[in-house]
Order: sequence, then C-alpha cells, then structure tokens
Amino acid sequence: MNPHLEATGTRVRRPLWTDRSRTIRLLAAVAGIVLVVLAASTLGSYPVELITQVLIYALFAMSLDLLVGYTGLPSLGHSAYFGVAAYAAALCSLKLGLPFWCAAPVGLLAAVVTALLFNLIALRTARGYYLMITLALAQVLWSIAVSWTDLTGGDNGLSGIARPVIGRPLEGAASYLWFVALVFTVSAMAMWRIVRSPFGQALKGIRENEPRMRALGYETWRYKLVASLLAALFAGIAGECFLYLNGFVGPSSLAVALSAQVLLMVLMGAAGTLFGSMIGAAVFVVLQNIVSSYTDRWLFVMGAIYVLFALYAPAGALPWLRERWARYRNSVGGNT
Amino acid sequence: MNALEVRDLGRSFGGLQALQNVTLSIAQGERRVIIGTNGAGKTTLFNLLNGQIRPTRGEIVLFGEPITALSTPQRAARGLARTFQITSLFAELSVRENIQIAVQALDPCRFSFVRTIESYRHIEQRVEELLAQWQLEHCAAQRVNKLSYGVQRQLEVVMALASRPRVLLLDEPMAGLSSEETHLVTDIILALDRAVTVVMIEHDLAAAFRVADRVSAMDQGQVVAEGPPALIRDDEALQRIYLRGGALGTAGPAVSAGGRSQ
Repeated sequence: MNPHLEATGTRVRRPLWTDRSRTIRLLAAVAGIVLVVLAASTLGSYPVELITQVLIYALFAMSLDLLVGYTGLPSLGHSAYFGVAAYAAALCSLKLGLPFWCAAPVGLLAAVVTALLFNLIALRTARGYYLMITLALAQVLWSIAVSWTDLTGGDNGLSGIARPVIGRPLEGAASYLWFVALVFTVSAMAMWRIVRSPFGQALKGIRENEPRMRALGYETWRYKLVASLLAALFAGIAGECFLYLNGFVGPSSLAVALSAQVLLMVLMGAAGTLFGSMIGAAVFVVLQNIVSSYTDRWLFVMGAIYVLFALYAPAGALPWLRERWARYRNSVGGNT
Repeated sequence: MNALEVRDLGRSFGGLQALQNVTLSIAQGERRVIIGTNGAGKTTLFNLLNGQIRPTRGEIVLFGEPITALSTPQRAARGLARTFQITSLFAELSVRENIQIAVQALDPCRFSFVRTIESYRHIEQRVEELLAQWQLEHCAAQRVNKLSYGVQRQLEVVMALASRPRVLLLDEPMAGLSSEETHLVTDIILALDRAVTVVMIEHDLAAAFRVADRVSAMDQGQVVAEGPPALIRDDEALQRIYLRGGALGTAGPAVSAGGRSQ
C-alpha cells in the first residue's frame, strides 16, 4: 500500500492491452516478413535484391528512430556508424584475414566506440547543435575514408569481401535475403523491447521534457548516451549487412547524403514508431528503384514526392494511413 | 533534525538580486506555505531548492545533508520532489505513461531495457493505485495535451508524489483550478502522510491557510514574515499588501517565528 496516501480500497486493474495481444501482433509481423521473403524468393533476383535492400535500410532507419523519434536527438551523422562498421569489418577481412564471426563483431564494436566518442562531444550541446556536431563529426570520418587511400582505398573503397558462411555460403541472392531477414527480425524485436522497456519510457520522457525528467531524478545524459550506443549498434548491423550484400564499401557509406536519406525515411514513415520507420524505408527504397528505372531525372521526381509528403502527410506515412483507415471504417460503419 | 534548512541563501541575475539572505527551517512533516506577490522570489527559491539553478551564496541542507552542490537528479534521489508553476508534463504521452515515468524514476528498473515496462508488476500496481486515488482512471489512456488545465495541474502533483518523496515542493498547485478541483487537491494534500514534508507556494490564501502549519511571506527576494496561519492572516501589513497589491517590505514590520520582530 502507498505509505503516503490513505488507502482507497480500489482493486488494481490490468491495462486493456495485454502481453498476449502484443505477442500475437509480433508473431503476425514475423509471419508477414517470412511471407514477403518467400514470395520474393520465387520472383527472381531483382525483387530479392530489392527486398534485401528494403530490410537493410529499414533496420538502419529504425536505429536512427531510436535517437530522433524516441529520444528527440536529431542526428545528421548516422551514416558514420553504418560506414564505420562496414569499413572495420571489411578491413578485418581483407587486411587481417579474419573470418566473418570475428570481423563482424569487430565492426560493431568500432561503430559503438565511434558513437561513444561522438556523443561525449555532441551531448554537451543543445539539440539544434547536436544535429550540426554529428554532421561535422561524420564529415571528418568521410574525409578520412576519402583521403587515407592506403587503408580505405580512397574513392575506390574496399571490394572483394566475401559473404558469410553459415553452414553453407550465402552466395545466392535468395539465401542472403533469408540471412538478412533473420538479422532484421532479431534486431527489430530487440529494438521493440527497448522502446517498450522502462529505459524506452525514459527516452520518450527526455524527448518530451528533459528538465522535468531531471526533476524526477533521471540523469538524462546517461540515457541519451546509452540510446546513442544502441542506435550505433543497430546502424552498424545494417552497415555490415550492406557490406556483405555488395561485397564492397566506399565513402558513400559514410556520406552526409546517406544520413540525410535515412533521416528522410524516418520522417516519411513517422518518427517515434519503429514500424513507421520501416514503412518509410520501404517507400523510399521502392520509389527510388521504380522512379530511377523510368527516368534519369529521378532525383527531381523524388524531391517532388518529399514535398508532397511534407504537405499532405507531415506526421509521416503511418499516421496518414491510420487516419485514412479510420475514416474508411467510420464510413463503412455509418452505412450499415 | 529538520527536513529542510535554508541558510542565508542568495541568488542574483546580473545586477538583479532575485533572492537575498533567505533562511528557513522546516521541520519533518511540516506543511509550510510560502506566500508573496508576483516577483517576490518564491519560484526562484524553489528553483534553488531543487537544483535547477545554483545559488550565488548560502547553503541548503536536506535531512542534515548539505545538498547545495548536488545536481537536480541527485536531490530527487534523496527524496526532494517538486511541481512546476507552469505545467510541465510529457504532453504527447498518455496520463498513464506520464505516471509510469514518474513512478519508475527512482526504481532500480528504470535503466532496464531487456524487459517491457508491463512486466514490472510493482510499477504497474503503483500506477493503478495513483490513477484510482486521484480519480484519473477515466482519462488514463488520453494524451496529456488533450486534458483540461485542471486535470493537468492534478497530474503535476501526482507525478511529484509518484516516487514517494520525503520533501515535496508544490509550486502553486491550485493555480487555474476550479473550486471543486481546488477542494480535491487541498483534501489530498491534507491527507498526505506526515512522513512527507510539504513546502507549497500558493496565491489562493484560503487554501493556503487551510493546509499550512506555518506560513512564510516573501517580498523582494526576502522572507519578511513567518508564523502560524492565524497570526499571518491577522497581520495588518499582509492584509494591506494583498488589498493594495503593494510591497510587503514597505508595509510595516516583519513577523517572525510566531510573533513580530524588527
């Protein structure tokens, strides 16, 4: 019983939403991914590659959403973690001859250490400056990748990285898609756990009102730092999936353009919802592939699409879809 | 041992002396109300007490421990909670989530990211308890920015109480409330266990005098009168201030510790 207030005699009620309904939704999401992968596997190499890219970028966008959508830290340097993990894993494979099971963790460690160094600096600043500092720090890494030719291959990057061998080599597009789908599912479930945890609740509180969080007793910088490290870890996983997809990593994996693209994916989907970021990434990658197959001026068309999103779905695709669905259900309900 | 001791506290902003020579001794379990006109330095005093700003001089002691050098979260961890004059909630989150965040603030589970919040039964139980006690069950799922101002003010108090503080600083908890809501909040404050020491800034003098064991009156950054409610209520100087909106410091001699002083 609450020692400070008189007893009310009120029975403690469980919330309407339950763990069971969540589990069912989670299983449905996993089943959906399996179905999409199965369908894509039967359609040839192009859809398989497209779905693989969608899953990798979705993972990347969800990792950024931990920062932007949940913690309220706008980052324009997220490609740094994606690229550093890919470069580190590639260097371990090429220069040291390490197998996948050693190179991949080293890559992830490099991404997390980079995030630690970045954020020890960037978290000293206010939110607007966080954006600029992360952009500047990522640009430093990009310039290193371009100029340190002996180590990074400069503009040519590092190529010839073999895909992992898990029981059998994942050389085929379909087998690699299954691998990425598995990595995506495990990572997405882990992120889902994080945002539903007490830690995740604290991140949302920091996003909404940091001074109030401090007054409640939260050492907010610790939460922001750990959120940044977790975001870097998942961005690193996406980066390594991208590395093994192409067998190549170049400076574009560290470029500000990639950070801007992934930020657009998060905003297009709906910041603050992991599923929204996934939708944003899917819309972005599919549109980019479709539009670029019809015209060389695809960047112009993509720009126009972003403007339309900003005008008609400023909160992102997911809230827009939910609103349309609610209206449809109301109209159907009203007619019956 | 007093719950809260403030010794010779001062704070200046550039050339403006917002608070000077403030000394208070608040006993454990006491209900202390701080009154004063706008700009008297009441909220500055609260900001200094919870560490939001640092004093330029003086010392703050909480249950015998000097806390002047501690950060806001460190003070909260020692049992000092506060509400804000301007409603300060998590506007985009639901009432339930706001309370959840406040309840878990000082719980060891707050840094856990492996288990979902719902799996911590003691947190959920405390949330339900607070929702029921403050009659907020009907709006538990509503987003805070959709609530009436009165309910938001209530939620401010609930969140400060959620982590079971030892000293509770309430910054104008009745501001903007209807008479019914004011009555509810006053009743709840009166029903609080005496293990909690309450320091409250309040402009609604009827509610303030109903709650207070002692009243401190502030003017121009100083405590100019202090005593039991009956004595303060009958103080002519205080009456002149509240009737004329003048400055307490110029209205007459101060009252201290149960009687008039220099």
